[in-house]
Amino acid sequence: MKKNDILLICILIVVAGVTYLFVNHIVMQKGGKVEVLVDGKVEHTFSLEKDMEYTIKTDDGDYNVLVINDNEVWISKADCPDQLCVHQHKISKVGESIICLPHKLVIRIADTEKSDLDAVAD
Amino acid sequence: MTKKLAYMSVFTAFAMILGYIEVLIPISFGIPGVKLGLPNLIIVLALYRVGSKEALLINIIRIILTGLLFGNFFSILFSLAGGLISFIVMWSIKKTKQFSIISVSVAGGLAHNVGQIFVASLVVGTYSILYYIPVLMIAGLLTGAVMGILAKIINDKIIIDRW
Repeated sequence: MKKNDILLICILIVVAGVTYLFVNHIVMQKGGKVEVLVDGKVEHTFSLEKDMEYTIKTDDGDYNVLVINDNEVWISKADCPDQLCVHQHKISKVGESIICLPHKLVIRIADTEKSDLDAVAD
Repeated sequence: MTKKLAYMSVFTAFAMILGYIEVLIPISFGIPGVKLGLPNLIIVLALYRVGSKEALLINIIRIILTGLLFGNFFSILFSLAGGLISFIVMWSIKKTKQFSIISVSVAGGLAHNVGQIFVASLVVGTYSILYYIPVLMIAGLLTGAVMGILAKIINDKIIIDRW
C-alpha cells in the first residue's frame, strides 16, 4: 500500500504544478482594461493605465470604492458585511477578478483588443 | 443502533467544531466561501470506522449546520459541492483497496477545493475565477496530507467498539 500512496501523491503534485504553470504563464497576461460587472452585466469599463478612484453605487445604497493605481486594481472601501472584497489582493492580469458577493459585484481585468464575450446581450 | 447514532452525532459535532476553527483561521483565498477543508479529517475517519453511508450523512449534515450557524447560502452551496465531490473521490479510492488512508485524505482534500471553485465559477458566472485553481489544488493537497497523517494516527491507535 505504501508504494501506491507515494505514486498517487507524486502524480497529484505534478498535476498541481503543471496546472500552476499553465494558468500563470499561458492563461494570465497583463491586462489593458478593467471591467465592472453588476449582476453579470458590464456596467463600467476603465483603462488600467489611468490612475483613478471610482465609487460604485447601487440603487440599494451599497457602495464599493474601486481604485486603479500603478496598473493595479483593488477595492479600498465598501459597506458590505463581510469585507472580503476589500481584503482580496490587488489584481492586474487578464482573468483576475475581485468579487463582492453581497453586492453581486465583479471587477475583472480584460484584454484591450478582444472583448470578453461573457456579457454580450443582443 | 443507539450507540452508533451517538457516535455519529459526536463525529458530526467534532466536524462542526473543525469547520468553525477553519473560519477563524485568517487565510483567505480571495474567493468568498472557499475554505481549507479541516473537517475532512472526521469524514475520512468516519469512512474507515463507521461506514460509507454514515460518513456521507455526517458530511452533509455538518455542512448544512455549519453553514446555517457561521456561513451564508453561498458557503453552504460551495461546501456541499466540494463535500460531495470529495466524498465520491474518497469512497472510490478507498474501494480500490490499493491506497492507504493518507492518500484517501489527500485526494479528498484536493477534490473538495477543486469542486468548490468549480461551482463558485458557475454561480458567479465568470471563468476568470478558475485561475485560482492551482493555489487551491496545492492547499487541498497540503491540508489533505496533514489531515491524512492525523487520521492514520488516530485510526491506528484508537480503539472504538464495533457494532
